[in-house]
Amino acid sequence: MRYSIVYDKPGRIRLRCGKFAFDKELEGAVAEYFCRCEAVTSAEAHFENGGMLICYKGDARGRLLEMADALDTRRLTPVKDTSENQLAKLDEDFRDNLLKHVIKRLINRALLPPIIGHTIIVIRGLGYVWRGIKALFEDGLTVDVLDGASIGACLLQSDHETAGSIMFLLKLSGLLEEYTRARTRAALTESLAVNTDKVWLVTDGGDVLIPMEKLKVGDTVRVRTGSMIPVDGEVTEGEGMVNESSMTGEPLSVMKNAGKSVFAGTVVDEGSIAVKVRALGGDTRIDCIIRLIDDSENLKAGVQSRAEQLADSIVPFSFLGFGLTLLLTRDITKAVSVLMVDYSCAIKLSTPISVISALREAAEHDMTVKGGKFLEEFAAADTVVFDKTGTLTNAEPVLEQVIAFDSMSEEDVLRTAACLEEHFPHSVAAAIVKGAADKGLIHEEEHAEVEYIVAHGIATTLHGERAVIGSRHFVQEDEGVEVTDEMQAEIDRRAGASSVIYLAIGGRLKGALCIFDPPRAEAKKAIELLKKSGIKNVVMLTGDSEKAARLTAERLGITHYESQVLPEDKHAMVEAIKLSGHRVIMVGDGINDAPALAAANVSCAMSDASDIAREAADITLRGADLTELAVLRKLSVSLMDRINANYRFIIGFNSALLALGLFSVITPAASAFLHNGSTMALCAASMRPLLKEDRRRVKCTGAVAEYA
Amino acid sequence: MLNCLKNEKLWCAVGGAAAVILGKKVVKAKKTREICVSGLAKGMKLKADAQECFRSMKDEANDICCDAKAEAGVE
Repeated sequence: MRYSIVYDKPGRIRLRCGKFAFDKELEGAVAEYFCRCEAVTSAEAHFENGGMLICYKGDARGRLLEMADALDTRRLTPVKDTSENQLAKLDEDFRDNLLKHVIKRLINRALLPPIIGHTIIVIRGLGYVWRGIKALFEDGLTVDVLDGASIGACLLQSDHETAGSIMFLLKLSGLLEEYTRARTRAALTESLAVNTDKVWLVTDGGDVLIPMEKLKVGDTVRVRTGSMIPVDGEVTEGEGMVNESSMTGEPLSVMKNAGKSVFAGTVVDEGSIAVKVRALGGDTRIDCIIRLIDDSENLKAGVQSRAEQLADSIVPFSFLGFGLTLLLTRDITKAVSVLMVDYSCAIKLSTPISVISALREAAEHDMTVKGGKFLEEFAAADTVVFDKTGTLTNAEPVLEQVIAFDSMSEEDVLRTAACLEEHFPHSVAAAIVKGAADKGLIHEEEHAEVEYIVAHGIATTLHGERAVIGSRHFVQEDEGVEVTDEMQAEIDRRAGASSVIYLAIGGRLKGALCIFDPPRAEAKKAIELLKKSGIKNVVMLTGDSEKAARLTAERLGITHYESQVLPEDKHAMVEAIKLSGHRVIMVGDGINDAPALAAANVSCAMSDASDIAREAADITLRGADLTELAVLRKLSVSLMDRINANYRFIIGFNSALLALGLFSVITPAASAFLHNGSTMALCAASMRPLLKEDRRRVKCTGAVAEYA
Repeated sequence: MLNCLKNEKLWCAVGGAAAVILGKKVVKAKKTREICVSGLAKGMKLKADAQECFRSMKDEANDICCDAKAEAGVE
């Protein structure tokens, strides 16, 4: 490729090929081409002048120039922009657009002869009037009608300046809103994109766990109970009940067997299926969630929906005010000044922008909030219910001891337990699998189909005998396995405060696994911060023993705890707390928390939660830091404060403008300018971060977050 | 009859009709199309030139800023 070197300093070189060297779509591909050289730290390309800026380490200049010589843009294919690039591009586009509009307006006003300028304003104004008329017939009296009426009234009065100003400010407000939405969408995409998982690849030698990024179209993956289907594809074997509510909104699970299609982001509620990959689902799933956040009326913050309804319901009063003023004063100028100032447009614009900005800010702090409604609930809540294991305690409980019974060795107990547990994404299962791996125990898949019994354990057939693993309640009471007093005494003596998992094969207890689950380092601080932020009750629910639960509750300053809780009890307890007049935040991680998560006013899942819990939860924390809950509380409370402050300002300021207009202190043009200017300023102010700068700086350095 | 020719309104109507016929011919004429296409192309080229010029100015300003930062020891 022919180019000239326009800047050349050690570590930074800029080449230029001139315009039309490559298209806008190829900018990313050109930058990526240079990034293939390992010495390159960053590269960017611009289609406008065919410019390429390459920053590099060491002495790579010669190699880079050789690469530039060899560059053939016809062989490049467009690449998808990274999220970072997308954000930078959005910022740049917004700045350019804003500048373009301001310059255009200044040039139009300064250079165009009035007759041409006015003609342009009339043509553009008629567009607004037409949109207003259309909106009037389709949606009734909305803000569009008001915009059309005020511009139309100005045009009728030949007040081109005011009409031009209104249109200019409306355009800027639109740009601002569009930019905020696009930026939030990009930030959310980024926040969800890193959520890559591992999948079970079906091979001739059995199922193998591989990272999601190694999966190819045409591969077959196995998905079991409680796991999310990671790809779009076709079921090749097995059958299962698949919950497709994230795609279709239908809450009941659908039976899927060989030949049926399944979609990324849906969850296998029960059963096991092998899925042949048709399309890799990362994007599909992200798109799905983003669409959900963007479009769903149900997920909009109540305050946002109320604002939109309020905005539209105020419009008729603006027209009534216009009519009355005209009737009483017989002065069209005064009457128009009523149309110029309305409360609705500021309320309608600033509220969603505040909510969207808060959602974006949450995403920047590694929290995925599935809708503004949940931020509102989070701010209003007075009770937090924590699941203990995996949420309040360390995300990685450790296997402390293995107790073997009935002639089985400790290694065999551990090997069998790991073999059964490895298919389930729960922290206790992970501890057992890790314990086996640490001891170098290799476990072949010797069992039949495994069945997960929610909050109880796992059952399967091993060498023709029924094998069960799970809580004492499950193994002893449900499965009828005898646990003698001597066995129990031995377990109690050795387990201490650890939780105990029982393993029985063929109806006989073969062993017990003691899992020690230390509280997270920051759990106590997080609870203190939540209490300080106005949370009155901190409740812990756990399936663990009374002893383990009491020790944890005392250590963490929890106001109330319940031990030996079954999942249906968790759900019932959350319902009971709600019935007693409290608003509940439920924080959980496991499959067994899903019913309680769904029952709470707002639910929150930890980063290492099972797919089903993440699906059920309204908010997902991507970091493993519980203090983020306090940060989210701060964010949500600040959001509500901001929205209320905006309301007060809008009503105060615009009422003042109305009064000034009615008493002819200011002209309609001035009130239009002040009204639209204040709306824009409010929108811009609503985009400011809600959390203090120091909190964000602290996060960057990796230190423990401080709740200001 | 001659009085009729003196009627201004008649001449306006005739003039209007002639203008419509002529206008239609002009709009449909090959030459008009060529002029419009070349005008549009010139406009597009002008836009591309302006974009190129603006981008180059921005690049150069960036380079100057980068040099200044390096000199000040910021980077």
